[in-house]
Parts: sequence; C-alpha cells; structure tokens
Amino acid sequence: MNPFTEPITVSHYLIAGAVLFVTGAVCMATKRNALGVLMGIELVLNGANLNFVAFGSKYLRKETLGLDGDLIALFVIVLAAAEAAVALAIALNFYNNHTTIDVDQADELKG
Amino acid sequence: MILADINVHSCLFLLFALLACGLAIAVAATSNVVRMAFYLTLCLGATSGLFFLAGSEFVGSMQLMIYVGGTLVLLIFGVMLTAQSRFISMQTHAGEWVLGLMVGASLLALLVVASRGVEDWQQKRTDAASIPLLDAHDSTALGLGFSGLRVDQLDQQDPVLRAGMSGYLLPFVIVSMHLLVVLIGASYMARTKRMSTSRLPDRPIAAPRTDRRRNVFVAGLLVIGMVINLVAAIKMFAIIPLRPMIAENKFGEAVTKLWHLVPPLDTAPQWAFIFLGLLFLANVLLLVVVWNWQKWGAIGLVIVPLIQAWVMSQGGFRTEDIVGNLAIGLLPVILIIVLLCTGKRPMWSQME
Repeated sequence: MNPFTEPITVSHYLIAGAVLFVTGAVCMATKRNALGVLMGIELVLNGANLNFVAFGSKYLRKETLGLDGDLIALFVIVLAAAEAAVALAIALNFYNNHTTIDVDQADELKG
Repeated sequence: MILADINVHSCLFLLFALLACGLAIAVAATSNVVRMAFYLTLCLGATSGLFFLAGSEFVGSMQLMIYVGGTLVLLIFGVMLTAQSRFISMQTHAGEWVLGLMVGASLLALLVVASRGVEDWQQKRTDAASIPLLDAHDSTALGLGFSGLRVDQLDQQDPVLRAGMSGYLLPFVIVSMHLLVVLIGASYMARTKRMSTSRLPDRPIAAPRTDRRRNVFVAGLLVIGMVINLVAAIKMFAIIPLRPMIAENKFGEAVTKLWHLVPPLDTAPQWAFIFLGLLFLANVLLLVVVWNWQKWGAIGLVIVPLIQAWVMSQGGFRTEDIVGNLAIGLLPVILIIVLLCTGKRPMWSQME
C-alpha cells in the first residue's frame, strides 16, 4: 500500500510502538550508565502508551477502546514520572556512596 | 491530481513515526549520555505528535508537559549531577551489543508479525474527515472519567458493557497518593548527605586486561575463518540473482562446471540461501566475539553449523552435501577450541 495516499490503520501505530519498545529494551540491556537504563525504560513506556492511544483513537477505526485508551495512557505517564523520580533518587544515592554510576559496579548483592 | 490524492494525516504520521523511531534508535546507539538525553527529548516530542495525530490532544499535551517538561528535566539534572568525564561516554562490549541486537531483532520481528496479524487492526477508516471536531476527546470527558463518571458512549445498550464503563475514581486516588508518597520519598532519598567514609571510593572502572597473549595459530585461524565465512555469505546472497545467468551459460564452461559441483544449487529454494548467508554472517560475528576474548563465541560457532545443516535439510539438499558442510564447518571450530585449551597458558582460561 502507498503510505502517502491510503489512510493509516491501528497496525501502523502498533509497529511504531513496537520499534520504540524494542529500542528501549535494547537500551536497557546494553547501557552501562544507570541513567541510560532509565532512558530505556522511558522509551519502553512510550511504546506501550502509543498502543493505548492508537486503540482508543476514533480516527483509526470504528470500534475503539473509547476513552479508556486515553485514561490508561495518562495513568502510564503519571506512573512513569513517579518511577523516574524514584529511580533517579536511587541513582544519585548510589553515586554519592560509590562515586560511580556504572551499573556493572553495583554487584555487592551478587552471590 | 497527485496533490489531491495525498493524505495529509498519513504523511504527517509517517514523518512523526520516522522521527520517533529514528531518534529512539539514536538513543540506543549512542554511548554519550548527554546526547542520549537530547535525542530522548526529541523522540518523546515526536511521540506526542503521534498522540495529537491519533486525536488524543489532551494526552499529547500532557506528554509534552509532564514527560518532556518534567520527567526529562529530572533525567537531565541526573545526567548533569553525575557528569564526570569518565561516565559521559561508557562503551559497551561488542559481545553484549551482538547479544542485545539479536534478542531485540527477534522481539521486533515477533511484535511486527503480531501487529499485522489481526484483521480488525488493519481495517481503514476512510470517513475520518467526517468526524465532527466537537466529538473529539476533550479534557472534560477525561476529567469526568477520572472522577468516576463516564460521559462517552452513554447510549451503550449492552448492559455487560455498561457495567464495565464506570469511571476510574479509585485508581485515580491510588495513583495520586502513590505520586505524593513517591515524590516525598525521592526527595528524602536524594538529599545531600556527607560522603560515607566507611568505604573507599573511586574504584577504577574495569579496564580490559592487557596481559593476555593470543596464540598465533588461533589468531590466524580466526582471521582465515572470518574471510572464508564472509566470502561464503556473499556467495550465498549472490546465488539468487546469478542463478538464471549461470543456467544460460553466460560465464563460460569453466564457471558452469564449477557451479554444478554442488547440484542442488539449481533447485533449492531462495529462502534457504538467504538463511545460509545470514548464518555465515553470524559466523563472522561470532569469530569477532572469540577474537574479543568471549567464551560464548566459541559455543555459538559450534551451534551455527548445526543450524545450517538443519536449514539445508529443509531446503532439499543432498545428504552427503549436508554432512560435508557440517564437517567443513565443525572441524576448524573443534581445532580452534583444542588450540584454545592447550598450550602453556591456555587462552581459554584467559577468556571471559
């Protein structure tokens, strides 16, 4: 199909969300900086949010999730803000105690 | 005529989706944490554009205000507070990259197949332009939804669906308390304290070990293996376009004779060659991994020929070709492993 003339569908949004999700997951897996891992989490949450909004949108298909999609997306945004605040506090605490931000160095609990 | 055909909605979607995905990949690809924060800001901005395009203006603007304006500022402050030069750019090992990309690619393939798999998600709404703008989601309906009243779909006839359409008052209260508690806890945890003296700070970052000695034979075998596998991969990818030309005897008798040394090349399906080529490329990567002192590369080198044999058996190759290929693939690997494990200071013990 020609993306310039045809109307887009839910599955296009899902694919964009999948790319965001996977890059976030790869980011979480490969970054050594704790803040890089946090950014990966933000990407994953945004990929999921994109799916909720797409399923709730009435411009993409007739049978929609309705208002639920938007409401859940807002919940996700708020929870992401809370998560970022706590994770950042932990990261700063770790940095204060160990003077490093490398997650590979955080191995004191390793058996 | 062309201009009249253009669907502005789709074009803008394409623009924002490519921006969001490209910037997300840039976030994952760069190792500089300051650049990562910058790319992430732009990526989330582009995502909010996608929200606007889906008709969720309120969610889009909240994305801009809370995410880009709040969460990311928090993250950037975190980056600045920890920005010592040795943490700005932290390199990841090549082996971890290869592993992460393999897992990521398979996850992406799964998700894309799943999102294209449902018929209902592919139906197009051609009359989207006729939806009245007043009908769009607005903040009033969302606010009422949060306070326990659903004003959308009031004419819902199905009693089962009506029951599920109560608002979100309890989750809203819970998430409000959660946010309050979390923010107080975070500010308590992140407050400046005196540096703890019980522990000596400034552990050096694990530097690559420099005292390793590479066996000359192993190094030679690895390099030769990389070259051979690369050539084999190129050959596999070249077979598909070249096959009809060979059949017409375009390159002369000698080439055609060489070609027919492995008869099923004429009949095997195209996907088998693509798979085999990819597997040869994987072999090259694994050899690089072994070169970088990672043990799992050697294990992968044993597994790849087995997968190749399986692909060949599915593709209708002759049994003797499969066994021959297996032997050609496995013998050098076994030789490499034996060489790794022998000698005065076995390289195996120096590997990670």
